[in-house]
Amino acid sequence: MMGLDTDNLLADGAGHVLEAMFFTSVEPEPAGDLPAPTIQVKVAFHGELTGHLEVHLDDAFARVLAGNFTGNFDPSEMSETDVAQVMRELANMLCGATLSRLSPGTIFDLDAPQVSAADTMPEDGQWVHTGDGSLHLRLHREIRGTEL
Amino acid sequence: MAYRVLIVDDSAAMRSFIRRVMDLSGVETSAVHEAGDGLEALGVLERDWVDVILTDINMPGMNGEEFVRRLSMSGVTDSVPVIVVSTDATQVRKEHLAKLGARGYLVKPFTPEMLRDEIERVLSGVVL
Repeated sequence: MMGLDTDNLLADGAGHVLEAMFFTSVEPEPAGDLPAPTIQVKVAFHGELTGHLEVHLDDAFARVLAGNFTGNFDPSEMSETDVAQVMRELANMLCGATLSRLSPGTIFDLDAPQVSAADTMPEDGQWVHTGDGSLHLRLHREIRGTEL
Repeated sequence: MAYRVLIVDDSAAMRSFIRRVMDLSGVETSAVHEAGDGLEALGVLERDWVDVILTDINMPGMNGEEFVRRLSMSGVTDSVPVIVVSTDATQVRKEHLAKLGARGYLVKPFTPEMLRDEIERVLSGVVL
């Protein structure tokens, strides 16, 4: 489980990514009940820091973000493949933004993000809310094979 | 002035995003070409002249580093500035790409204004 500082870094990095690249502002509270995530995106990182970042969100918010990112606001024209591609970009940038805050100047490599179905409500980690939906972030770091 | 732009990225979503933010930031374009990797981009450049190239680093096939290296060896980077677009914010990476011949570097996430400013900077010949 990560500490409060890491959760703050996750939230700060996510806010920067969502505002700059997805044109949506971070809010202190969710717009409604927290949605059960249906999508998980996992991106592994290696180097002086090793571990992975998980992003969880529901399909409706993923489609809003994909529309904001590409400029295609017609959900009927956005295939699951299109949405998944944007989710990979989102996870890639969230991971880069988090690691650059966690350990500035550290060199790391990111694997290609993997998109899969999510069916459980995440427990530890950090929620980030916007007016269009919420997403959940969880960072796992490993040091000498030990997950922190 | 309207620019001819080549966007090189294996992600169609990122290519769409760059097109979108060029529009949003007021970058005028007369042509926007796209390629999914460095090899495809070299093919585009054999057919079409562009004013500026925006390229990702991590791509299957020919990656961004090899693409910039090839452009530099053939002298293209002397007349067509290349801007690298990456999540990697480390100085080591930026300096490495600059040595290979890239004239600009944009770290994701970036705002539409940051993209516009970087395009205008490299096209005006300003060196950081």
